[in-house]
Order: sequence, then C-alpha cells, then structure tokens
Amino acid sequence: MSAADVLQFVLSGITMGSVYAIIALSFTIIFNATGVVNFAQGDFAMLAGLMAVSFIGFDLPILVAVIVAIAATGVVGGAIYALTVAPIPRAGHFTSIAVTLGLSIVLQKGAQFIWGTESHMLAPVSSRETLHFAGATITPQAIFILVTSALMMVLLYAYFKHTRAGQAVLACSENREAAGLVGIDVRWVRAEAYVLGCVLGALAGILVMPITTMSNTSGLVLTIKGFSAAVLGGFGSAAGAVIGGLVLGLLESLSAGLISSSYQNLIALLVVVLILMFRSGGLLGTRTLH
Amino acid sequence: MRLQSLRGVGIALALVFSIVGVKEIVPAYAQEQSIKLGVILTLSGPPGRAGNRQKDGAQLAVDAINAAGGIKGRRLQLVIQDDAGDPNAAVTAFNTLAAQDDIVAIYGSTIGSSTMAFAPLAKRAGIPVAVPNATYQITRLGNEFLFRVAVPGDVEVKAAVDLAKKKGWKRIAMLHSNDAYGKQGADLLAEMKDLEVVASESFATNSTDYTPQLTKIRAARPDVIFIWGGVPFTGTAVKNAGQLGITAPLISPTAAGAPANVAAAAGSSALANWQIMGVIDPANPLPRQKAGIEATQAKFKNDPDVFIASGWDAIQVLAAGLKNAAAITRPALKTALEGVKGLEGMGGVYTYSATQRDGTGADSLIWLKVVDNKLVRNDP
Repeated sequence: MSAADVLQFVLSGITMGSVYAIIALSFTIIFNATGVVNFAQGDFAMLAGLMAVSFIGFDLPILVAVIVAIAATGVVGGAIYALTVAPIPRAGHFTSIAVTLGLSIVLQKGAQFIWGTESHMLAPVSSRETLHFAGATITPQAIFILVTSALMMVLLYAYFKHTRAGQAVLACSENREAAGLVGIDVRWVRAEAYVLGCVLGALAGILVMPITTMSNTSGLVLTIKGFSAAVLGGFGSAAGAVIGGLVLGLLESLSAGLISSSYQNLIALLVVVLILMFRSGGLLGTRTLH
Repeated sequence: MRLQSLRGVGIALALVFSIVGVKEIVPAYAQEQSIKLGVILTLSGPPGRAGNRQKDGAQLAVDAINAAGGIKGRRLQLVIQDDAGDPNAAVTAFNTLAAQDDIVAIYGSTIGSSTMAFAPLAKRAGIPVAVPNATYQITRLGNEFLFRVAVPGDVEVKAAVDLAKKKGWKRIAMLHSNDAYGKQGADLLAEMKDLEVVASESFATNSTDYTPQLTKIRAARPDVIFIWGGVPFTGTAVKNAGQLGITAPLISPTAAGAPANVAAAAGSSALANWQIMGVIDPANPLPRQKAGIEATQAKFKNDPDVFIASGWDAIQVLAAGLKNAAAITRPALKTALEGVKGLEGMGGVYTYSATQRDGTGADSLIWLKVVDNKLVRNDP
C-alpha cells in the first residue's frame, strides 16, 4: 500500500463525504426550523436527478435542465410540506418520522411509476476521465462536487449569519414562541426552511448522479448516509453536519481500502456507533434537541 | 349505534360476496381453456431492472405461443407475483401460486436466494420450477422439481479462468458484489487450484463508489480483474477502473451484460478492456434466436438482453414440456420436462433428463464487448 493509494482513499472519501455533508446539512436545516427529522431527504435527491434526465429528454440544455429540476424539486417539497408536514407542527419526533418515512415510500413508488426501476445516468461536467494529482487520480466531477459543496456551505453560512431571512430561520429554531412574538411569520419561515432543505437535497442528487447513477430506490441510501452523518456530527449543528459527512465518507473509503471491503459499511457505521457511545451528542455536540 | 354496526356488517358481507363471486365467475367463462403458469420475479427494488426484463421476455414468449395457436388448443396465461428481492416475500408469493391447483408450473425468481427459499416448498407441492439463476448450488440440492434455464455460475467462472489461461494472464484479481451471485463467483474462484488470485475485494450492492477496492486491487498488480456482479454496479465498477487508469483486462459474467451497465460505464476508457459473457449477438443472431429477437424489437424497439432471453427461454422450455405431457398436470409436466431434448431457445440449447437439471452450459456462452454503447460480439 503506497502513499498514493492512501491519498486515493482520502480523495474518494472526501468526494462521497461532501455529498453526505450536503444531505446532512439539509437534514439539519429542516430539523432546526421545523423540528421534523425528514426521512424523505434522499428521495428529494433522487427526484431531482430523475427529473433532470426527463428535462434533458425535452431537449433542454443540461445546465438549464438541472436548474429547472432543482427548482421543481423545491416546488414539490413545498407542496409536500403544505400537505403533510405543516399540519403536524406539534407532533412528536415519532409522528414526524412515521410521516416522512411514508412520504419516502410514496416518492419512491411515484418515481417508479414515472421513470420505472431503471438506473438513469447524468453526464459529468467534463468528458475528461481523470486528472492526476500526486500519484492519485481524481475525476473532474469529484472536483466539481468539492468546489460546489464548499461554495454552498459558504453561501449558507452567509445566509444564516448576514441576511434577515436566514436570521429568522435561526430565530425560529432557537425559540419558536419568541420568534413569533417579535413579528417573525413562523409558519412561513418553517415552510421556507423545508423548501431550502429540499433544494439542498436536490443539489446533492444532481452532484452525485454522474458518479453513482440514479434509480427510484437510490434515495434511501442517501437518506441513511446523510442521517448518519448528521448524527455523527451532532444532530442540529450545521458545522457538525459538514464534519460528520466528511468523516463518514473517509471512514467508508479508508475501511474499504485499508481493512476489508466486505465489511465497509459495517466498519464505518460501527465507528459511528462507538463515537456516539462516548460522545452521545455527536462530534460537535447536539445543539438543539427539543 | 347498533343499527349502524349492523349496517357495517352488511356492507362488509356484501363486499366479501361480491369479491368471491367475481373470482368464481370470471375464470368460468373467460379463462376456462387457458393453461396457467405462475411467475415469481423481482419487479421492484434494484434487481427489478433484471426482473422486469425477465417478465417482458416471458410475456413475449407467451404471446408468440398463443398467436401460434397455444398448446393443445389452449392458451398460456401468466399469473405474476413480485417478490421485491426478498426471499420471505418470495415464499409468500410461492404459497399464493401453489395454492391454485390450475397453476402447473412456476418461473422464478430473479435472485438466487429467493429461489432457494421456495425450492423446498416446490418439492413438497410437486410443482416444477423453471429457474433463471446462475447460483450453481440450486441444481445440486437433489431437488428434482427444479429445472435451470440459465448458464450455471461455476461454468461462468471456469469460462473466465479459461480465457485468462489462454491469454497467459496469471495474476487474477476478483472484485465481486456482496450478494449471492457475486460471493459465489469469488468462492468458486478461490476453490480452483493452480491459480494466482492476488486480490479479492467485494462491495455492497447499495454502495456507489468502488474506487477504494479498485485502488487496493491496482496495488496488487493483477494481469486481469474479474468484476463479478449484476446491474448496475458492474458498470459503475468498470467506470471506476477507468478513472483509476487501470488498463488490465476486465472480465464479467452474463448477469453483467445489460443496458444498465453499459449506461453506467458510458464513455469510460476501461470499456475497451471489458469482456462480458453473453448469450446473444443481436447483430449476427443464430437461427434459433431470430424469433425472440424480432419479437423483442417489435415490442420494445430494443435488442434483447440476457434477462429477456431468460424469460423467453423459460416459457419455451415449459411449453415444450406441456406439449409432450400426458396431461396438463404438475406431475405429468415434471416427467415431460425431464424428456426435453435440444430445445432451441434464445439464450441456449436446453436438454434435461432425470439427472440433468442444468439445461445448458458453456457452449451457450459467447464473449461480448461494448462498442458505441452497444453490446457486440467479440471473441477474444
């Protein structure tokens, strides 16, 4: 095992890790604003990817098709929020989990109805197969994923830190009643955050699709990985979601590369469990768990 | 209150009677003559990509046979159940079908572990099963009701090893899926003597990036890599190999030869090195394959893959048995299937006997390669 091989594990770990990080972030945003653990999160990624394929089929340029698909996923997310999540504002975590798991099944089967069970492919950003980097290789798509997710995190940070809308979301997650008292339209902010979470999930789907392909059932794995990452980092913490995603991606690729590929998922998730045994709040500590 | 609940009971009873009534009446006048074949396939979940093609192939064969007048003047009819890739669901599906006395045979299931789950029940129910799996143990269990309509997995592994030997590729690496099909390939390879297997890695069928495994394999400097699995992960693995700049030849078994893999590996530099076992060369079909290929193209505007061939051939084998059967019953069909000789299907020529349960073998295999996003014949 050479140093270049280890670097290869790290690169592929960070790439998948940043996708997990985006999904973990979308879990976090939705949870903080609405108190809902949204187990349909990966299915929004699936939905966006498959819609993009259809829009490309309508002869739209790829970039336009992708943007329309992400926006459409946001619209679907908004409609779903109004129909299923909004009516259960005070329901406990169990109810919200049951509702969103049901939602996930509906989305999966709905997608099967429209797109079948085939895997669909999205062309990567560059037709160039690989770039060489210190003896290891990295695909242009992986670089695109890394750059886009970094940019997305900076934008989200700016949104929450420096815009009124972002601050309103934070206020709602801190204290819903107080936020309402100071004149924030809590119901609107919650809807906004849910749609933002869906859009982030959609973005993750579009980014990862050229690497993994997408079928109607692909969402579930993304949900599980994103949720594990969010818990690992500390559920409810945005920085924790990012770190959790990257750590999970690295754990997966390093355990497959250095220990045993047969037990890749087992080892990665075992480490997650171990970390949680000693730090029950996750790496950065759970910020809000009402 | 009491009146309301009485009314509820009344409505429920009416519903029950209406359902039972419909069930009783419909076959009586519409389907009295048809011969029913049960089908258990994986129609949803990831293996559904294969299962739906198998179902299409079976339906095409049924349509063709019925258009030609059916069997002994009776039409064939499929009764289809989805096992969703779950052996427990397959058992439930089997029990549902086996309970219907007029179902004389079963075709299924898409994944070997489902077939293994209901195989003992088939023996007990005395119902012959056309098995589409490569899982080699299935026909080695002494269960005389199972008739394999596929190339068995041990034949595939031997074909891959023979090619490696012929080419002088000594250092063999194995990358296999973590399901029954992939593990069987790795186990069979490990059992073979006088081979230098330098690496053996696996991946979960729901994981999406096999770069770590292939990096490890690359470090072992193999002369050839066996990529053993179904759809769509085999294609993704080939793509990853290209991204890592792996130039060693890649060999995959028949289950890999499907459009979903071709799509997943599209544009990869490793495609040039990828040899896949197949059963059909659509550009140069054999005479025995023409009818099936034409039927597929007419209905789906596409060339048949190994799964369509599986469905088509299973029905042809069962139909051949039904034609020779003394009566349209399960035991008569089982006896007749043991007498099927040289039946020409899309994916092979099938011969069974009281001891021979693998209908076909190595002589059905050809080598395929991906050229311009299509599988074409390429004998290395």
